[in-house]
Amino acid sequence: MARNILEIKELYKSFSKGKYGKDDETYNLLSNLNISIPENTISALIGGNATGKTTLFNILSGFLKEDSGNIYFHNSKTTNLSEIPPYKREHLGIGRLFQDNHIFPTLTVLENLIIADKNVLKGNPFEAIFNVKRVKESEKVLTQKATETIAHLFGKSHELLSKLNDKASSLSFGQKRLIGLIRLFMSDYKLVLLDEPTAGINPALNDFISEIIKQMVLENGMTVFLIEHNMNFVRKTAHNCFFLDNGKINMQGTPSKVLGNEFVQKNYLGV
Amino acid sequence: MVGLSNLLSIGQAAFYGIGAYVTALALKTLGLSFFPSVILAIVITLLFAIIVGYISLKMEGDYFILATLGIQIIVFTILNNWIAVTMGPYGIPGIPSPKLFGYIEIKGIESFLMVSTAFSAITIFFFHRLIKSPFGRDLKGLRDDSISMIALGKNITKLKIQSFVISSSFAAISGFIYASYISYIDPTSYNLDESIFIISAVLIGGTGNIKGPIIGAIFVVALPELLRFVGLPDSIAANMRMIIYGLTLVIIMRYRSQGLAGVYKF
Ligand SMILES: Nc1ncnc2c1ncn2[C@@H]1O[C@H](COP(=O)(O)OP(=O)(O)O)[C@@H](O)[C@H]1O
Ligand SMILES: [Mg+2]
Repeated sequence: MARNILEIKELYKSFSKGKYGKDDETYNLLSNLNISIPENTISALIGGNATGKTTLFNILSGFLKEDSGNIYFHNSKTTNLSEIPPYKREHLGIGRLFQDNHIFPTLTVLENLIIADKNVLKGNPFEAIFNVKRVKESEKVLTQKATETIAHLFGKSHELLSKLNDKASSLSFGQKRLIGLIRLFMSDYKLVLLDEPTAGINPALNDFISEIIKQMVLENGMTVFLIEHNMNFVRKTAHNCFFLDNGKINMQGTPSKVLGNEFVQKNYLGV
Repeated sequence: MVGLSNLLSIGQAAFYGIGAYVTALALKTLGLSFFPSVILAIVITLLFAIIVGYISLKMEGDYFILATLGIQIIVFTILNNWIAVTMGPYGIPGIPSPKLFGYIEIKGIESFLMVSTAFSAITIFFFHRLIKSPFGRDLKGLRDDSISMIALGKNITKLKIQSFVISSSFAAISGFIYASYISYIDPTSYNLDESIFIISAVLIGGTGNIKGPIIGAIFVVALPELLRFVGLPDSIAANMRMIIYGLTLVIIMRYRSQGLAGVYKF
């Protein structure tokens, strides 16, 4: 078995009860949650509505702060993520696909992809004014990378290739979702967090999305940690499955083991 | 810049004022010539903007607007009370005309028209390149979706500070032109009214491109002339002007929140 790339230990997170509830009235959403994600695998997190799956991802990305617990990210060295500001977690090699589409509506499809680049200006806006040649060259390379990635994933005649200069707001929900997925190939990620990758996408495309995710692992050396409600998709795609219930991981193993479990079937699948 | 980074600053006149006062002191007290004065005005305003940016941009949205309001009030109070340097409410009279390379005196409306045209051209060129560059793309991204920007590893605090500092530094150029042309400055030109005037121009014209703010500026500058043309006496026209600005702002925000020619909606 491969080593773990991510280890979540004794994680707790509570929220105050209702919006106007008293501050001391809290409930534990995640309590004593432990997960280890093996490197170069696809792991699926399943669980009922509002059990805290997205909240866990938001804690991993740094948008929410855990109450207590530790999150270790093992790359070339081990990092305790709690001490890292959100944007720097991306620099460590952690990518994210949001459950609700977070694309940039006023940017074009192409801009939505090449904005993933962080190297060209290195944070110096004056380079844009005085080093036009270097910027132009970098833009050319990025544009090529974006079109090649789309062509590689979806084929040379995919509709997105003819929409590169359209505003992203003009895309359908499913197309926006694809942009989010393609963008993850623009950087060298080690771990990607995919929050319901098939949600809102034409079910006919599910197999296709499944293939793209497998490609992330096989061709691009990423580790995938995803949240899914579509159990057929989980069976087809994931190596490991984690069942989140009552704030902790109640059951884990291969998808067929977890989904075949009597407790999971009764309490989640409603069989 | 407001439109690009979603940073609505109501302290723009403060930076304009610092630029004007540094110009006045550079020309009059230090006896510097044209380029050293412009550069000094820009550098001092820039340093001030960096400090203000670091403090206020840690705050989000509405708090940032309040912070810039605070800066506006602080700067006005300093200009008005630091008599030894700014001569307080009396202002600084007799600012000498700047000399190009110490020889050619820039004086009179034609010379200043040329200087302002040159500076405007440089500013437009600069912002055009910036908007079209990856930096401009990042600012648009920030405006669209800051969460996504963070997830893509962008340091959005740094981006906000950079855009704030750049736009504030350009206010120093306007300060330079104003102080050296009018040759007399006093604090009332840099109070909250002036900031609101600048914001009106930006919001009425629209943001996110270069033509929006230019159209807005033409509108707010042309309006008083238009009222005079209609034949209203000055005392009524001044009040009418404020009422019309207000009304226009309300109407535009209600029916065309991206402004007359802008991209972004508020
Ligand atoms: N920032 C927040 N503040 C308060 N409550 C929150 C916050 N984020 C999520 N919640 C609550 O936590 C619960 C779990 O949400 P979520 O993690 O999105 O569930 P899911 O498992 O469906 O992804 C929900 O009841 C939600 O309202
Ligand atoms: Mg969710």
